[in-house]
Amino acid sequence: MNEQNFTELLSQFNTELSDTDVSSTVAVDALRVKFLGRKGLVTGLMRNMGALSAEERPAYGKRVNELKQEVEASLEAAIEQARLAELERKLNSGWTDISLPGNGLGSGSLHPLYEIREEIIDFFMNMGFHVETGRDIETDWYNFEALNTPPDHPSRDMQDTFYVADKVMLRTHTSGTQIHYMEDNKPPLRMIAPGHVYRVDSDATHAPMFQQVEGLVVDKDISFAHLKGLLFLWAQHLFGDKVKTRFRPSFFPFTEPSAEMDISCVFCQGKGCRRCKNTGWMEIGGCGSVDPIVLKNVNIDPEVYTGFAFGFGLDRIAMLRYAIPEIGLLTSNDQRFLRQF
Amino acid sequence: MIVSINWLKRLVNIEASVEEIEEKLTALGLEVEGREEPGKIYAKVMVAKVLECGAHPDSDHLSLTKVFDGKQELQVVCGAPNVAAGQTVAFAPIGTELPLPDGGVLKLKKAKIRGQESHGMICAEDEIGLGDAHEGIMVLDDDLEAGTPLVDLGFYDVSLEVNVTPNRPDALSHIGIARELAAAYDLKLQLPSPSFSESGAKAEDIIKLKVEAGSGCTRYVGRVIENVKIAPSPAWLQSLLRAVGITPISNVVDITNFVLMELGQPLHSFDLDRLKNGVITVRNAKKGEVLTTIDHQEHKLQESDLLICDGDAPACVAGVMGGVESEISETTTRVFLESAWFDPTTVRKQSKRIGLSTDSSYRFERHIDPFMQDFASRYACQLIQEIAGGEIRVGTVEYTAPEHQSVPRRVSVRLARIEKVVGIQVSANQVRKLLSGIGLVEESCCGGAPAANAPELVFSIPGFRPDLEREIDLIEEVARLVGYEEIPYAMPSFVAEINQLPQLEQIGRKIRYALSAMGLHECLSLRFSSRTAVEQVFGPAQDDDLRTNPVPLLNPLSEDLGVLPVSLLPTLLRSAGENEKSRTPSVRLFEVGKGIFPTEKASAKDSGFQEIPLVAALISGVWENDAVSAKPATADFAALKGVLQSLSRRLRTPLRFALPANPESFLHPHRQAAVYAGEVHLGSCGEVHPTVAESFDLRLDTYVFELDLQKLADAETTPVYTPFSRQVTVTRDVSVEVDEKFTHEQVLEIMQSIKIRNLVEIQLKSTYMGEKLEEGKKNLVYQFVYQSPDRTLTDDEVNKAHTRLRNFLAKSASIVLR
Repeated sequence: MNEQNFTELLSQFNTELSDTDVSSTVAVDALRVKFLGRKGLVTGLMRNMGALSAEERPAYGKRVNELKQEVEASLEAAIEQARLAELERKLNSGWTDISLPGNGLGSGSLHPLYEIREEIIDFFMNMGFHVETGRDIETDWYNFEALNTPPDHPSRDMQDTFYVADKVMLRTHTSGTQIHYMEDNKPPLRMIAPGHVYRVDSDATHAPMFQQVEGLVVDKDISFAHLKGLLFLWAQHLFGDKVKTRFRPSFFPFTEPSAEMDISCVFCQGKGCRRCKNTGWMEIGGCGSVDPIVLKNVNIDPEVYTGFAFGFGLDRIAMLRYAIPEIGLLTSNDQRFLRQF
Repeated sequence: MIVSINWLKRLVNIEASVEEIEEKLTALGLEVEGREEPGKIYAKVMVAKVLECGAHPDSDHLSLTKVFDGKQELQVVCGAPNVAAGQTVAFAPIGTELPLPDGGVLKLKKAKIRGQESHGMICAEDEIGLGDAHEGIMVLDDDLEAGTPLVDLGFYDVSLEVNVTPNRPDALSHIGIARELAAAYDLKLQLPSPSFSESGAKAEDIIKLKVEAGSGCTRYVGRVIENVKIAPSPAWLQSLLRAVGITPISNVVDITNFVLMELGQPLHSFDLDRLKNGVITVRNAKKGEVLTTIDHQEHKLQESDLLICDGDAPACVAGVMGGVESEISETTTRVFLESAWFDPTTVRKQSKRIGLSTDSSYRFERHIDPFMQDFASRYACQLIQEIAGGEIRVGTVEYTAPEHQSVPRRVSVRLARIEKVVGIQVSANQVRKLLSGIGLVEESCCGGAPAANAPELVFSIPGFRPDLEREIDLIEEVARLVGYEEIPYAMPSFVAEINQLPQLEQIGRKIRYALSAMGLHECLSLRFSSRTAVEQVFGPAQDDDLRTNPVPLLNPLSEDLGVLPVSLLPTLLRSAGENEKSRTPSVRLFEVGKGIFPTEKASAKDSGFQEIPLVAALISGVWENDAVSAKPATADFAALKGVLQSLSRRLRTPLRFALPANPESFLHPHRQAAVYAGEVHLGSCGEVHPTVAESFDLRLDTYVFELDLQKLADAETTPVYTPFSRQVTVTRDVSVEVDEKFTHEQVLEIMQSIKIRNLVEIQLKSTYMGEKLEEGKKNLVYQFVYQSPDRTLTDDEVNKAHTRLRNFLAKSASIVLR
């Protein structure tokens, strides 16, 4: 093996390199295997070492290494070039119209009313309220009498009732759940009861079935001031920090003192507009301190315990939040409505 | 309750604006829901002075006047005979729009009348909505200032619609509303003090009164008025009645209505000449009795009804409406005036039963003041004497039942209790001031004057507040009168407690998230359905099938919303039909809801109905919407099953699909499955039967499932980790040909019946049916996955195992290996 062999091998490599497609890592790699692989031409030179004398070996070894380094350097450059070329090709091929629709299932939707219901449940649950769903069909006792609404009392006019049997009805409010809950549990009590309620009524703002959330707190030293505080917090949670609340005296047979709760109009922030009939306020629900009679009806001593209860219509809240003009849309099951949420 | 502002001003000297009054009433719990301002359209009409008045040069009936409107002098032509210089008049300047009787509008412009310019109009009463007089112009008080709009001078009344809650009968009268305002503004309430002269015979010599004990009438005051002249009421009375929505009829009737609206005590006037028997009897009706009321409706009476009778002949449904026989007419000269207290429940029942609610019955039902009867009667007599010239006969015929409330109720309130319930501290003197303002009178607690700092105060309750019976009622009054806005916002301190979302609520949420992510829209259906829709799904009623017997409502809104079904499907199918009408390419709906069915009623507190929580879904039309590379897939059984299987993964409830033992008749006989969790039957799924689909106008093939949500929730599992091999897997495919109706499950069963070492999974890769195969056959390709738990398998090992499997399958009679 003399210097000429080395030169020839190098020129062979250079020739083959120039014939190689240096835009392909596969081609460059094949060249690498041919010269530097286990059975490669340059690698083969090292094997000839054994035939040399001890004096010749260091110089020969050095020469082979020089050749190997030279080849390696060229290959490395080539492979880098190939990688870049391939990357270039990857980046420039297969243009995609990203404006085309995604395939697979069209997206479904969650009902706006149930969204609100969930938010409200979570708000109160986070404060330690138990969640009761109650039942849609109630007896007169739970829906009216235990709630201090005797038969033939004008306060029954406030709620027109669907009957399924004598003294058995579709509940007109979720308040009956208060009674069930107080019968089964002892104070301190914290409960909310979301659910469907029914009234013989049907127009743009009244549906024969709608949703309410009832709330009840019974403990020692619970006052009307606590009712105001908690519901104010709730209103802020649902309608934002800037919302204001107003409590007006009202009447419910099962609370005393009773109140209607208004929030500042969500459309005009209380300035007065068509939606709030220029009052700046919107009615959001009824509430009050639990009437002592109701506590007595479930064997809780009203001298020791006091409490408050509240009830809100979810349909109205959903309509306010999503600017839904007609209550009937909520139960229309029309996909043109549903898919907006 | 409609309230007239002018009427209120007769009773309390209030100067606040209408807007302020509205806000105040609302804050007092008397919510103002509406306002009528009939004068608003006459806003431009003003006071003016007639400076000069002369004859029109070219007319013999017109006058030419010079009018001062507060700013300038204007020439105005006037046709009224009574116009004269020096008068103060109502003047409509140019630009005023006056409503015409025919519904049109007259817009006043500068005009030339017979050659003379006229800059407006001097008005008659009827032209500006202040009465009927058209004989001449309206002449006003001279001390009114020119230029002041008439609206600002109270010429026009404003009516408020006040929502009076059932606990406040006192507020169903102007005196009641005025009392609240007087208390709020610290003003004096101006109560009427009736006075009149009596003459002639004693009333008891003219007519007798007989009240049946226990009938529901506990107090009755009757007076006799003779030589009455029936005529239209004076303008002030008519306009007050009109303002509260009552049409004036004639003086006597109008006066009874006036007293009703002012004091809240219903009165009834009979034509005494038409009461033939000389005895007023108050008694319960007898079966079969009939009475025609003044609205000319004939009512069949029941024994529970309370009647006022002429002798024994029914003359009036007590507290509701009088009979046509004894009605006051133009020729009436003798009047019998009734002022009574009737039992609220009795009146309410008969008013409801005969379907007649009147201003009177509405008030009796809500419990009128038990001490008001004689006062109201005297007030009416005074007015009748003044207005209709009646002679009041001496004394009364009256009755008071022993059970009639005779003394005011006494109720006490503890200051400490106010603080406990309301959360504010109030002093004894504050409570005294607040409650005496609305007519409560403090009583000494235990003899002697009440102490300034007494811990408990006792009040006697006036008759007009029957709602104040208990301490809590007084507490509410204190809170109300202090103002709810004065009560602070406070947060309760709660004890920490373990708290969890109820099971059904939890699974409901998971289902909602899962199904909506699979492209389905969440529904919220009315719980009501029609019997027809239920029948369309489940067939005609059968004794042993609950689903065919939906619970009927006794008073449905309509037949269409007449029953409560035990399934969500009737409504969901109907909704699908509605959606198809909008030409949607696909319908995908689901609902988490409940069904209702009857059970044995166990106790008085048990409704005798059960509720079953359900989840149902419906898909049809375009399923996988791949517009880019493939044609859209259509909803089919596999799509439906895919939804259920994804749901099953999400809920961690393994579901099993089986051929139903009792196929559902509303589903396609060959495209339905029963759904199980373990051995528990949850419901069914499949294609809606073509006949059912047609009945709901469904053109698209529609697939549905409905499952018992409670059972589904109960079947939820907690996953337990199983170690898995990390070794390389090797796969081999096997293609088999079987009969078309030989199921995938049956093929799998055969494949799994031989134990092959290291075979860890068999997966179906594809199915084929078509031209390339013999008819009635199908081709299935399975992939077999081999993997060792602890080392890499060699090709030889896998080949050996796979050959064993193939040889086994080759022997099966049902399978042909390809």
